[in-house]
Amino acid sequence: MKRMLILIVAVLLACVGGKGRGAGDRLPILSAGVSASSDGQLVLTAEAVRQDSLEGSAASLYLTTSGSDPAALFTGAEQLLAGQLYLSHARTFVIDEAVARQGIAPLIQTLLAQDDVRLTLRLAVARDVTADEIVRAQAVVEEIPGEALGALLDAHAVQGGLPDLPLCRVSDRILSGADFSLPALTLTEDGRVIPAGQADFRLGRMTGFSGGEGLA
Amino acid sequence: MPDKIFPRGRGALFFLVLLAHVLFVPAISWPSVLLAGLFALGLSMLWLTAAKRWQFQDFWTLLRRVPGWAKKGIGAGLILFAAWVAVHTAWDSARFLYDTALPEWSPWAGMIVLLVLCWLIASRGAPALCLWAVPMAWLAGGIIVLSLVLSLPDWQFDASLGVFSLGGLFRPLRMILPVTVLALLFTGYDEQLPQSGAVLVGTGCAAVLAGLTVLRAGAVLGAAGARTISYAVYEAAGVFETGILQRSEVIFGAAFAICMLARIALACCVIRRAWQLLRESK
Repeated sequence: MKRMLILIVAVLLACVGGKGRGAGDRLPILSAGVSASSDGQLVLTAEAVRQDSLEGSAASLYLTTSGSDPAALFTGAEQLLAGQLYLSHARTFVIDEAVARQGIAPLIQTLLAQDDVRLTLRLAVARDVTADEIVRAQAVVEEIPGEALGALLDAHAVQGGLPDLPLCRVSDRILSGADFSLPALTLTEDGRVIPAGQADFRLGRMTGFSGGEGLA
Repeated sequence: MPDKIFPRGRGALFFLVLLAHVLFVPAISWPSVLLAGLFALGLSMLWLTAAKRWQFQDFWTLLRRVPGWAKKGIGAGLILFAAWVAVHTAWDSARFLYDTALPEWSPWAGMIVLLVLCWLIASRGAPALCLWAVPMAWLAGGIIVLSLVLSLPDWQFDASLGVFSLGGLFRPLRMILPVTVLALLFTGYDEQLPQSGAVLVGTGCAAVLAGLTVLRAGAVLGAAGARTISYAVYEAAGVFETGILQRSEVIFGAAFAICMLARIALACCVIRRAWQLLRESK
């Protein structure tokens, strides 16, 4: 009887003390991008997947928020959704060239502060187009653009055609002051995403692109 | 009569309880974690040598030689000490579960559930706990070894990984020594059931696996990167994907959850045994 009472108290404590987050109030994100707007604000474009029934096919939907810093982007998205972005399924995060040139350290720290982000998340820099355009580009083979983007980066990383640096390693490179490169992506005339060389970084700031000229 | 515990069970218990702290140590201090484990091994060897020299089967039989008033003092002290270990480990474990897998549960609730569960495991005594520990040690050890092997392609070494400082040794020692002392209370010299081999194998395997697990965190996340990630040892287990297993750190975390259960249950066993001692000496 005493044990039962203790368990009941524990369950009551569980009800009042948790973060109160169920899977239902989280929006699963497959890919996202940060662009810079003309007024200096950052704009987050996130691709989520919605499936209304078990039989129905999944459809992408896009969510956009803006803010003055990376943390404000996620706060803005939470306010918009009255929930949270669920980053556990996210495979790709695209960064605008302008944002990359300002430095990506605050963005990396904000991503790492999200408790469901995968440390294997791949980062890429949009070349000659905005990150928003890359995230919204239609997939040719895969049904879901975010899946296709992730598969593209995985395939090229395995073949050695693009730098293979997941989120955890990017954070390590920035903190240790080492130079590093991230894959660059661009769009073809018919709107497909293709690799476009690499973006080179020093002390967390992009210094320029190398390789991949004339691919688009 | 002292509790009859088979050597394999005792070794398994040492293995589990000496691995439980690994989730909470900084990822860059693998030499410190390994050394702390070897220190526990040395302490166990000293205790076993003393037990053979003075022919005592465990700490509780040794206590028969002390006067009643000292027995009461030691019993009360042990209850407080074991309660502190149990509550501290349960709180750390509940915080870990809250931050990673179970954000819906408050850490307070998690701590209470863990303490109740471990009290139930411990209520059947140290021999039953050691019997439970044998399959659990194989399960936890197997998961940890498999996780290390599968993540090998992602290991990258650099010079900063091997950095060792005496100051860095303090934290793993602080985490490992109290529980080593608690485990040694049920250990001694037994002519019929020699214990030293099993205890040394269990403690040695725990020290090596703990060191390797922390080394993996630094090698996978990078020494600088690992410092900024809470539960880096746990997160580093999630860098590989095998088939449908996409969040492998969850299974890896389950192995350490078993280790933490064993540690709390051991502390509960000490509380029960010390309480019996207090009642006997009235």
